[in-house]
This record gives sequence, structure tokens and C-alpha cells, in this order.
Amino acid sequence: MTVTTRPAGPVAPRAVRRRSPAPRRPRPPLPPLSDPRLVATVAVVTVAVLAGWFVLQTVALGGLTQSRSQNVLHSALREQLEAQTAPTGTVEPGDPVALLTIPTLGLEQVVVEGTASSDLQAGPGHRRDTPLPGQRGASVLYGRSLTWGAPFRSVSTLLPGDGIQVTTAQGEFVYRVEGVRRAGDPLPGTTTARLTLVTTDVDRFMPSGVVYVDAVLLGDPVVGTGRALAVPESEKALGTDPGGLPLLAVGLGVLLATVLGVVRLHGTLPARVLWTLGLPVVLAGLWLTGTQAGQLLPNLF
Amino acid sequence: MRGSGKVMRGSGKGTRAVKTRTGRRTRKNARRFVTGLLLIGLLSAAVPSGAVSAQAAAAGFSQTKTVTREIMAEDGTVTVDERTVTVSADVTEDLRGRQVMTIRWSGARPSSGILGSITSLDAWTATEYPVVVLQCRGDDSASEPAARIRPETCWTSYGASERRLSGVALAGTDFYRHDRYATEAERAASVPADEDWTRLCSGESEGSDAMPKRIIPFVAADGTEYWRCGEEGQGRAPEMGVDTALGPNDTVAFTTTAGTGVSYFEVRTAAENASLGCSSAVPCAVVVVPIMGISCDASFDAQPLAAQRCNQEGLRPPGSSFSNEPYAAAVTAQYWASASNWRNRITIPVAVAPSAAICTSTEGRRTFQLYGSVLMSGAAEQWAPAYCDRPDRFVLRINDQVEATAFNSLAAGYGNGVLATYAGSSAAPLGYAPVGLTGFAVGFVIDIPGGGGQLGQLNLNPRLLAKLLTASYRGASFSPAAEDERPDLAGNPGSLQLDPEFRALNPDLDVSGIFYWDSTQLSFSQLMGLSVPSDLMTALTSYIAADPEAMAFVNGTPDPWGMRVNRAYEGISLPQADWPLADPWTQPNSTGCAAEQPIPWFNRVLAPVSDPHRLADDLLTARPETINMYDRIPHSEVCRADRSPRQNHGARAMLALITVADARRYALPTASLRTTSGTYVAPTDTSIAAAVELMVSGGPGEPFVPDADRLIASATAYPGTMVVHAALPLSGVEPDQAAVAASFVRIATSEGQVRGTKTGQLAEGYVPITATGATASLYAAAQTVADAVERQSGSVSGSGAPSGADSTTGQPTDLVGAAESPSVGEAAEPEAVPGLPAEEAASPVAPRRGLTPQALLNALRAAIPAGLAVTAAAAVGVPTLRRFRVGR
Repeated sequence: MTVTTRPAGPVAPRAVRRRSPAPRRPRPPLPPLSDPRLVATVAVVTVAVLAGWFVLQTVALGGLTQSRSQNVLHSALREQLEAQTAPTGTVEPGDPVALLTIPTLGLEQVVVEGTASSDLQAGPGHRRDTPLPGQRGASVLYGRSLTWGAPFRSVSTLLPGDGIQVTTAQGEFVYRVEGVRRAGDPLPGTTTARLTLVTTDVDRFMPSGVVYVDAVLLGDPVVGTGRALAVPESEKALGTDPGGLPLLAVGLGVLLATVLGVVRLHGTLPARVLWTLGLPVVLAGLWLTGTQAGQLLPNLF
Repeated sequence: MRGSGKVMRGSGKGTRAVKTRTGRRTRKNARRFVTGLLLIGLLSAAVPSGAVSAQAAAAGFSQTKTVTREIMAEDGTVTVDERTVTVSADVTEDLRGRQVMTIRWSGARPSSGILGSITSLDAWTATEYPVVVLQCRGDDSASEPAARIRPETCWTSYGASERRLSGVALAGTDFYRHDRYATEAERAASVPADEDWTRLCSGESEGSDAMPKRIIPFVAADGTEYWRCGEEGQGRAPEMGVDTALGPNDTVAFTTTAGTGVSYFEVRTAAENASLGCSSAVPCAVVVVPIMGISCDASFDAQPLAAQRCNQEGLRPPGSSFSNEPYAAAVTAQYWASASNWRNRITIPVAVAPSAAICTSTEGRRTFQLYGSVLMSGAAEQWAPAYCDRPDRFVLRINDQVEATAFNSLAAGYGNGVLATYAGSSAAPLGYAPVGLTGFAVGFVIDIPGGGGQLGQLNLNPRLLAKLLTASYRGASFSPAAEDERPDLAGNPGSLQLDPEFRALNPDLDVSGIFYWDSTQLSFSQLMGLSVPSDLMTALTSYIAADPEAMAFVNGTPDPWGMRVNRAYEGISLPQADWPLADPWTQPNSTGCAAEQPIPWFNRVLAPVSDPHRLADDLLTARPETINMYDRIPHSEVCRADRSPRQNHGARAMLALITVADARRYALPTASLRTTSGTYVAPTDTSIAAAVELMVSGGPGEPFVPDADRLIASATAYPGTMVVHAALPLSGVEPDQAAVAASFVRIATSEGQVRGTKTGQLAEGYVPITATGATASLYAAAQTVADAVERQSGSVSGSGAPSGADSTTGQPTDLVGAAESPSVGEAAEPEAVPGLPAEEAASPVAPRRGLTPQALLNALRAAIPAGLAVTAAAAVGVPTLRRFRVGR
């Protein structure tokens, strides 16, 4: 019994392959579940697979998702800017609102509306109760520092004087970085238009505190057409979005159902057919699970 | 068939159209109001604070000055026309945008040839011996001459003839060049001088000795010079123009035959007039120039006629109205900037309030949001900075909203409480803490016919208000066909000023045959009111309902002069929070746009709006809300209805339902309302306090509802008195937020009730709620509710000491949650906040009960390392397990 080292759908396929010379035989009995070591091993492997996948997806694969979202958002924004239909005021959360460029970091990101954890999986988010960049007032953008492409991973290295360029429906705006601020630092002085990038410091894969990069608009601000009066807790700094819990349950359910299905079918189908059928479903389930579980992470991670 | 169907639908929509439009306007206005507040806040946040506000509390201004004019007779003898003018102003410090300053003077030379419209361009040349009142940038007490006030830094709205001096040398009308006080530079033949002329004034011929010109540029705060000359009048400041949004605030006021005068002067800050740029950092003044005339020198060589003209005194009789009779140009306001007049000026330094909101950052701080009564926005504007400015407090947001809507919003989870006068429905039990004592007012702007100045005192009784609300004045002359259709209005006067009952109460206006009575008939048939439900309307209609005479009128009994109620409103039940537009009748036989797009006639007369602040603004700018005429949109066949045009100073007649606070801020006069004891009571501190003594609440935590029957019966109480309560949930609020709510009530009823112009203090128009005196019951009720809100036990009457609050100072000590929301940004790293208990400040993440968001966050923080660790452990552990197994 060496089967238990295999991660996904671990028991069945290997068992099938070993017994493949006699496919039509009735299903062989599963190893007795009464063996506590086997139960422990299966449990540990399941948890490890899920945990490993979670880390893999948030830190590594999430970047792929994010860059695809960025591509889609980028073309949507380009189209809107060209057609002059890009938003100047309130927007549906998730829609693109601006193009953020930080030349010194080589950063170019499409900013989406809303700062809920799910919105920030696609790119930096504009906090909905602040004016859009370029408009009079203090505009606030949130971005992730570790997961889902980590667009804001290096913004805390910006130095005073660095430029930040934002393109919205109302034009191109250039901001000059004033400084990087952490909890306890004095608040910045007053100006008519300010942009604040918010993310977290990362210390050994752990976020260690919120960091703010303040920038001041060069030139004259424009006037917007309104915005949300307040945002829910989930869209504030370090807010988590429990809205994905139902889908998370669905994802886990899909995984469970697939595993049970594979176990049920093993012995009736050849192993490579089972792998071919099962693996995509398992991957899709894992992907869904990871995405939804990622929304439970605070939005700035 | 289809066509007629369409028409039917179209006309059927007529009545609704008005409502829908105003409904949309409500939201737009609300949004605009909020945006406006934020804009004001941010604008003023950019202004350095402190310097001016540190001065002593607002005090009036008074100064006496001897103003002179030397008049030279033909034989060369000089007589001096000398007057001792005393100018006083009521408020000069902590002025806010558009605040109105009342300036009074005495001892000035009486005006003649008075033009009713004191802000029109004609007034500068029409009136003899006027008093010019201008807002100027600069400080006359400054040692440096450049910092002082010059005509060039004084604002005038038109930038036209009032900013240029000219004349014809041969005719001797170039008086300003013969001004004995003028400097050589001021006497120059051409200002700007030759070399600059073509650059600045291309297209216009420059001044010469024969036809001299001196243009007085306006120098903006940023140093730009606006010359306003040349072919196209180029070089105009952005705020200058004939029909600007805010209208002119420079006035050519007049002096009565008694030598006294008054001007209600609207002060503009940098927010309204950036070119003038008055702010707490840029000193400004209101300059009063009593025009005495030019003191001429002896330079008229062999021009006896010119010398005589220059030395002329007023030609018209003092106190006379404008006419086409000849007048003496040398004593008119067009020479206000000439040295002889300018040196007679009296300067009233004004200090603009440092800010409306200096809150630098509201990010990551706990917010306390109240929606509701329009009565509180004046107080809220001054209160809010005092909350968000302090790190141990929270961000206070108060927004206007229809009270009923605000109660619904609260039930739906928006906002933390409601501001209301009357009780509302709610799922959770509410405690009503009185936080404001004020009321509704009937504001008016009425000019006494014949140049008598603005009316200061107006008496109204409930029946007159009922007549206005029920659209019982006709608003215009009716055609015979209309007369036939509306027999109920047959004997009714066209408007308020034609009603004998109104004239009997206000003898000053008992004048017939005034030319503008007809033009104001429509606007003076309207009490500008609200299209949305409001506690203001409830209070106003309760006052009418409490008066038997008014109710008899509403129910169909004609008044003693034979006037009857509009049949559509007959028998309407009062009070009403939402006044209906009940009369769908349209004028018969109309043509053109009036036929294509008929709006019911009395909807045009009543024309309600959604925002009482807008009504105060309308009074200030003399723009009635009545829908006056139709118009086709240029280059199209589409009709549109237009508001009545701005009324001229001297011919204004408007009434509006406004708040006492707005009336005070804009110095709008308010009507005295009749009580059943026969007295007329105006809203004053005394009369409002007297009314409070008549109010009782229904029990602990219940609102103090104005009892109209008791109020109207008192001879001294103001019937429009209203208490504004903060209605706060008594259960279901998390402890941190409950502490914030309680501390708001305590702060609002302690330091928020100190009358003053500083941030955090109580604006004019609100009567302070104090622990002693007439308002003691309100104060006690507020404290009881604050304790109950903090306790969150579901009722007010429950026992138990207030937790963590020092009720003697009203300063809550348990404000950790109030200072910073524990789940957000800057609270994550604890830092000592002055005034907070040490251990609380050190551990703001300490869970109060159960799994707080912060605890959850701490767990999630390690999610990724933990995931990695589990995977790694399994990778190592499972083979180990296997080996262990195999080894067995």
C-alpha cells in the first residue's frame, strides 16, 4: 500500500492501475478505514493539498488570473476612454475606472472600482467613498502586496518626488509622491487633491501593517459627478469579504463529489480515463475554492 | 385616435410631471448638497487655520468719521459741507460664505433721485449722495501702503462704467481731473498709459487731454489685473458679469431724509469669489463710502460753467425717487474712486472664518452619521470640525433628508440615528435626545413701495398662511373664460398685497397703484414651500390647524372680506407633512407653449421645491420659484417652463418657508406670527424659550412634540418653535458605536450649546439647551437618553449607572472605539492617544466579546505562512508515516 503518498484522488487510481489486468472484476474492498494511521494520513494529505494549493494559487497562480483580468480590463478601459464613456462618478464595483502608471516601479495597472477583496483580485481598487483620481479631494487606491499578482508589492519603496500617473475619463493626471506613511506617522498636510496608495508591508509572507503612500496632484484638479457616501466594512482597509463563502462551499462540494465519483468508478474504468475525467474537474474545483478562499483574506494582502 | 390618446397621456402627466421633477431634484440636490459640503470642507481645509480665530469673540463694529466736501463758489470762497457719519455693523468676525452683515449708518447726507434697484448699474449714476458699500481686499491699518485697500482691490460686479472715470474737457465733465485731492498719477489723461494702452485695451481709443479716461483695474488676489476695456471689454475677472450666479453684492445704498440708512451686505469668501480671494489668511474689509461729491480745485481756467458743475450740489429734493429731472453728476456714485470720495471711506475690517471643516483625514476613523431634519444643517456645519479634528473623537456627519425616509434608512441599516422633531416608526426602540432648539420661520423679502427700503417687520396670521398654502389667491388677472370656470375664486384678490386682511396687518404696504404690484402678483401669491414631506410642513400646518378662524376658512367659510378657499383644497385635513398639489385646473383658451405643455395653473403658483436652504437662497437673491412663462428652446419646437426672473431691489415681494437658522445666517427678516391672544410673535431667543416651557415629552426618551394648541394660545411663545431630537436606537448597537452615539449627545448638549461663531459652537438661530433655565427639561432628557443609548438595554427607563461616562463634564472617557475603529488601518499599530486610559490605548485590539474582526484578522494574517507550513509538514510527514508503516 504505497498509494497514500499521492495527493489528488489518491487511493483509487493507483489501486485501479495495479488491478487493471482484471477490470471487470467487482470493486475490490477499500482498505479498512478503521486503521487510524490511514485515516490520519488521508486527512493530513487532504489538508496539505488544500493548503498547498491555497498558497500556490494566492501567491503564484493568482498572478496569472490577475494579469488576465488586467488584460480584459485594459481593453475595456481603452475602449471606454476612446468612446469617452469611461466613468467620472459613481461606477459599478468591479468596472475599470483608471489606468495607474508608476514609471519608477515599472508598474502599469488598471484600477477597478471598489476595494472589496474580490475586486482587488483583479487589480488595484479605488475606494468608492473617495473622489476618483484627478478630482478635487483625497482619492484612495488599495492594492494587494502579496497575493493575486501583488501589484502594490513595491509601492512602499517609492521615494518623495517619484511620479505617479493616472489616466481617467477626465484626463491624465500626474501626482508627485510626498512620502510613505505608516501607523503612528503624522498625517499629511492639506492639499486640494491628493492620491493615497494603500497596501501592507510584507514580512516573511506575513503582512505586518498598513502602509500609505501619499502623493499630491500637480496642476489643477477636476470636479467629479458624485460618489458613494460610505462603504461597508469589507471595503475598508484590511476588510475581508465573506460574500464568497457560499461559492467556497460549492467549490469544496465539487471537490468532494469528484473524489467520491472517482472512488465509485474506480475499477469500472481504466485508470487513465479516470485521470482524464477527474483531473480537470478537480483542478476547476480547486481553482474555484482557492479564488473564494482568497476573498477571505484581508483585501490588502 | 392615437394622436388624441397621446395628448391625453401627455396632459395627464402634467400634474405628475411637476412632482416627478421635484423628486428627481430632491436627490440631485441632496447629492449636490453633500458634494458641496465636502467641497467647502476641502477648500477651506487648504486654508491655514488659527491665526484669525484666536481673536476675541465676534463683536460689532462702530466708527464715527467726519466726511467733508469743499465747495468753491464762483468768487473763489470755499465752504465746507461737513457731516459726521457713524457706521455700525453687527458681525465682522468668523464670517462664513454668503453670510449677511447688517450695516447701519446715521448722519449721512440724505440721498435724492433714489433708484429702487440698488445693485443695478444704473444706480451708480442715478442717485445723488448715495452710500457705496463694497467688499475690498486689504488692510487699511497695514504700515505698508501696498497692503492697504485701494479702489483697485475693491470688488464691483459689472466691471463696466463703475470702474472707469472719464469726461470731456471742453464741457468740463472730467471732474476727477479737477479733484483737489487727486494725485498727479490719478489725474493722468490716460490710465492705462499710452505705452500699455494698445496691449490692454486694443480696439478702444486711448484717453487724451480732450477726452481723458481713467480705468480702475480690478487687481485679483493672485495679482492679475483685470482692466475690462477695449473693443470687447476684454480683461474681465471670471466672477464679473451682468448675470452671474450669485448676483452682485456691491451696492449703491441710499440715506433717508433722517440721515440714516441700512445695507444688508452679503460677504463673499474665496470660495464664492476667488478673484477677490477673502479668506482667513487674506484680510478683507467692507468699505462704506458715503458719497459727498468731488471737492474741486481752482483749475478750471476760464470755464465758469464747468467750475459751477463741478461744485454743484444735489439738484433733486432729498428723499425723492428717481426721475428724469436734471441731476448733479459730481455727487453721484460714479466718482466713488475719485480721491475726494475715497478719502471719506469708512473701513469695516472683516475676518472670514478659518474653515467649515478642517478635518484632514477621515480615513480609518469611526463615523457617526445622522440623517434627517433640515433644521440642523446650520449647526452641523459648525459642529462637525470640532469632532473630526480631535483624535479622541469621531467623524460626525449630518445630512439633510426627509425625516420619514431617514427613519426607513435607519431601519435598513443606514446611518446611526435620525434627526427629527416628531416621532417616527422604527423597528428598534428609539430614544429621542433633544440636541437643537430652533423652528420654522416665514422669511420675507419685501420692499416698501416708493423707495421706502426693505420691510423689516411683517405680521401674518394663520388664515393668511392658509390662503397662501391653499392657492386661494389667483396669482394673475383671469380671463373671462377663466372667471367662468373658477367661480370659487371669483371674489378673491389677485395676490397677498391686494388682500385687505393683509394690508390691515401691515399698514406700511397699504399702498395702491404701485407700478410693480402687478409684476410681483404671481410671486406674492406663493409661500415658497416644500415638495417633499417635512417636519417643517407638519409644524407649519399644525399652527394653522390650531387656529379656529383659519380652519373655518379652509373648511369653506369665507373670510370677512368675502374671500373663499380654493375648491380643490376645501376641507383638506391638517396638519400635513406632505403638502399636495391638489388643483389640476389649467387656464382655458391658452395658446402656444401654454397649450402644448399645460401645467396646472396653481402648480405654477405654488411651485414647491425640495430644499428649504434653496428657499433661503432664493430670498437672498430675490428669485421667486413661481413658474412665470413658457419659452421655446432655441432652434427647436420644444417648450420649457421658466422660473420667474430675479426681482429688482426696490421691487421685491417674496415669502418663503425657511428655517430660523438660515434666516439668521442670511439676515433675512422673518414674519411675526399671530397667536390667539392677539399678539404677533417673532422668533427670538425669548419667544422660543417661552415656547419650550409649554412643551412636554410623552415620557422618558419620548420626543418633545410642539403642542400647537398650547403654543398658539400663549401671548409670548413663538408658534413656530421646534425641538430637533437625535433619535438613536436603544438596542442592537455594538458597544463601541453606542458609546459614540452617547458621546455625541453629551458633546452636542454641552460644548455644542455655547453660542458662538467658532467651530464646535452653536450658530445663530438656535437657542442654547442648558442645564438650567427654560431648557433644563430638554437637557435632562438628552442626558437620560445618552445614558440609555450607551446601555443598549432596549428602553430608557431601565436602571443602571451610565458606564464610563463622566456626566458632569459630558465628556465621555470610554472612547477607544470612538477614536478609531479597531478593524481599520491606523488602529492596527497602537499608539498612545492623549486622554485615553492607558491599558485601553495600549491594546485597542482586545476583544470585547466573541470573535471580533480584529481577532479574525490576526488569525488570517498568518494564513499564507500557515498554509505553507502545513504543506511542508505534510510533505515531510507523510513519507515518514509511510516509512513507519513499511517498517512495521
